[in-house]
Amino acid sequence: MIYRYQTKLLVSIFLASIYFFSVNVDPIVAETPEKKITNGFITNIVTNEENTTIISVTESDGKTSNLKINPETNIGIESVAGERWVSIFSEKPQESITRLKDQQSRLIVLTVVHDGESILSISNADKRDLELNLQYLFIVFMITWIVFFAYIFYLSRRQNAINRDIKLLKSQPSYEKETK
Amino acid sequence: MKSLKTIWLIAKNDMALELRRREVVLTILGFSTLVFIIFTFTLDIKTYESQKFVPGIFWSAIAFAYALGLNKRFASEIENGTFEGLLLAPISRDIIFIGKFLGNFCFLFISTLISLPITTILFNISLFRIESLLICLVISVGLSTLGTLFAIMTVRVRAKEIMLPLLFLPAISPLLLAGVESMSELTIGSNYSEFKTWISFAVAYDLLFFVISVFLFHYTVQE
Amino acid sequence: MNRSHFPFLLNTLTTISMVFAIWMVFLWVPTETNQGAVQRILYIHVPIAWGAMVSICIVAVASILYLHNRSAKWDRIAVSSAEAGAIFGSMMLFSGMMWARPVWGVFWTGEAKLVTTLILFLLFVAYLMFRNYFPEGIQQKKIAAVIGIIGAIDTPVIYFAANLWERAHPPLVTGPASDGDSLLSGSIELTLFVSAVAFSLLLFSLINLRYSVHKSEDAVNLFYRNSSIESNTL
Repeated sequence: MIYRYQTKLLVSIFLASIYFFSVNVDPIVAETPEKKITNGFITNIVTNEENTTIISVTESDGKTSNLKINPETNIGIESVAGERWVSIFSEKPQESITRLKDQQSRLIVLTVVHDGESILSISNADKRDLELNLQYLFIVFMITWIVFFAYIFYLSRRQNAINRDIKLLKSQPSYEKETK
Repeated sequence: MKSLKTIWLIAKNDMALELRRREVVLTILGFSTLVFIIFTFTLDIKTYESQKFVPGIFWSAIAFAYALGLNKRFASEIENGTFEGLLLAPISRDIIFIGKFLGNFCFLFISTLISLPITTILFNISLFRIESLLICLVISVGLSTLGTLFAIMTVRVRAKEIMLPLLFLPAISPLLLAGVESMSELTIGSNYSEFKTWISFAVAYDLLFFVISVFLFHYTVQE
Repeated sequence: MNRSHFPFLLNTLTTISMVFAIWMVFLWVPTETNQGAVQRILYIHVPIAWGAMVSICIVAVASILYLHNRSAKWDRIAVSSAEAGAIFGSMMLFSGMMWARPVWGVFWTGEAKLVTTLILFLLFVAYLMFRNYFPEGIQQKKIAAVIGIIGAIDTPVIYFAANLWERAHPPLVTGPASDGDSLLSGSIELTLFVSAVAFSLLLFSLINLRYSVHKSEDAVNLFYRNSSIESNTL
């Protein structure tokens, strides 16, 4: 139903669209540097003259690392009241430093994800209690299985109804007549 | 070039009908203006924060209004049997689709153009730029493509008022994203490269779905 | 080993693998130190997401084959797959929200994968609602196939768009859990793999079950249409 030149036109438009899409494919997945994790508490926060903040994190075995905070560092820490505060360092630098100093004074263990030199994210190494939030796990598994079993139950009910119908049909004398 | 002439004939017929009855454009315009006015109450438009939402409001209102307008447009056509008459004519199905698409596109484009100054006035934000024209053009093409296809498919369904938005709005969400982001770059940000990225994405989307719709339209109207 | 043994085999395999996967998830894998016990939701969240993606691919392929062949078998596969995909999609969203809440404090992060799954779920629902509302017949199946194809093509486009959007609006999730697939140790990967196999088999057996129900109903419908007997249940 489509003439050949129309097909060619449509195929060329299709290829043009692929080209437009591929022009947009920047390396979204850029090369991620090797990620390292350090769990420890902050012992020192220093802001030097070039306005970079360096924090020293001490781990449980006594090892201290000096890591640099850069503007894209994600910070997610909990205050004394238990409220979670999330931000990027460049958006609220002063408040971030204040909150980090608060974490330092309370000797809170933090999880720092870095590439050896500059920090990618800082967050609370919470879950000292590994049983915390068990109710979410329970709810997810329970609801998932309930839904799956309900669906299977519904399907088997439908299958039974159809099987009953088929049996009824086969038992009727007119069935033989229809299928002969 | 007989097919081009046929396309133009179908589109011209729709536009002439519209000029006389003014149903579709008024529906789209009226509904979107109402949504804008409601948002002037519900958002505190004086603050800079809420001005960031204006492109989002604009395109959401246009999308909803277009779903309504499409329903209205094709319902009367199918009810009166004129669409089936068109199908019976010895025209290729693609030509019919492109003709209908062109008509829908013109309605939507005109409505978005008229909504731009309305939004500018109501929200104190300048959407009056040349690049807005480009955005409206590109997004309207995409909305019209999928809108025409889905409208012709769903207008015979029992619950067409919910069926068309339910199909249409998820399927065009990338276009809404593109429209909102490119308009934001215009009015609030000054990142021209992002604007180009989003526009080229929208163009790619339009081309891809135009081709697919033309191929698939054939299957939706066979008896 | 003829064709009628296939459902039984599939169901048995599903049961065995699911039991094995649950054993691994709850008893074998060590608890992760960062998130605690809640991290085990990952072993149900990721395989269900994978299952939803697989089912949309099946819908697309079956729809294309249906439009090409007009054989009712492909249409039945498409419908069964869409139903299973709707269930898997909703479960993925639910488990994702329940996982995000204790770990990151928010129910919904604006991530690309979540937005894609939400739209995918809506498209599945639209497909199924359309099939319900449109009067039965060849045209219903054809238009449903068209919807399936457009939905399947739209999904990667939406993922692409959401990724582009994420570059301008980075979602505020922090910590090692935010980057879902880095820092996976060996046992976590193995459990994830086994769980993925188990849920894929579950998907296939659900599709198979629905397909056989559909097939029986179609056969009985055809019989009633060709004869003059009144139906009791249909």
